[in-house]
Amino acid sequence: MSHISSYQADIKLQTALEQGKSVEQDPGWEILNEAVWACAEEMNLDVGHSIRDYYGRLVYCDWSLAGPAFDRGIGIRVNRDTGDVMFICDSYGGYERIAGEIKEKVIQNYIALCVTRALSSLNYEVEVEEVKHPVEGKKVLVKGVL
Amino acid sequence: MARSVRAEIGARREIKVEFSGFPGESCFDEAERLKEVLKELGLWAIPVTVTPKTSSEIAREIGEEIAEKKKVLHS
Repeated sequence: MSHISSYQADIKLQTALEQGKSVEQDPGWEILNEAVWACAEEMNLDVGHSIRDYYGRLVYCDWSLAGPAFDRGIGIRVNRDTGDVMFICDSYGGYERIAGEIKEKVIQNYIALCVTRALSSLNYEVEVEEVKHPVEGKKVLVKGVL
Repeated sequence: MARSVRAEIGARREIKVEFSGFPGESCFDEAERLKEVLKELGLWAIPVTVTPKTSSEIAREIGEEIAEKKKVLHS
């Protein structure tokens, strides 16, 4: 028999923590870095390590993404004790849409990278394709054949 | 028939995964293996729905396979 499953995804970097290592040594850390840079390239944003709030105060984070139309930026911070991944942004003043768009794009990239790597590690031959949907936005198709 | 997994990743954290060509119940074991590997990579896939394929869908997959094989033989 074959089937179709649907899932809702969440990011939590716990593998290294469970082995007594630091979260920076988690396999997901490098994947998250890759997902952030892919988003930066796709949306023409700069990658850094700080964002600014409404008052211009600097807030440090593990990664930040900002651009000319969104100079405050959105930050990503990984909790060193739990591995929880948090997106931080002061979206006051009409930045909710762009901040949400960047966040979802980073997560989508992360999921696509994880699925690709997971299938490869299970010995599948993997192909990746991106499809632009007029209503639902970008979709990433990952196909693995044994 | 070759076993394949096709994942469609949407813009709002949703993942639809289609397992094809797995004999018996082995597609469910494969789904569990995939979920475990994803978790090791930091991706927690929370199941929303599981829909077994209908016999006609399976037959269509197998039918396509047979048609492809025939085409190869004739060429």
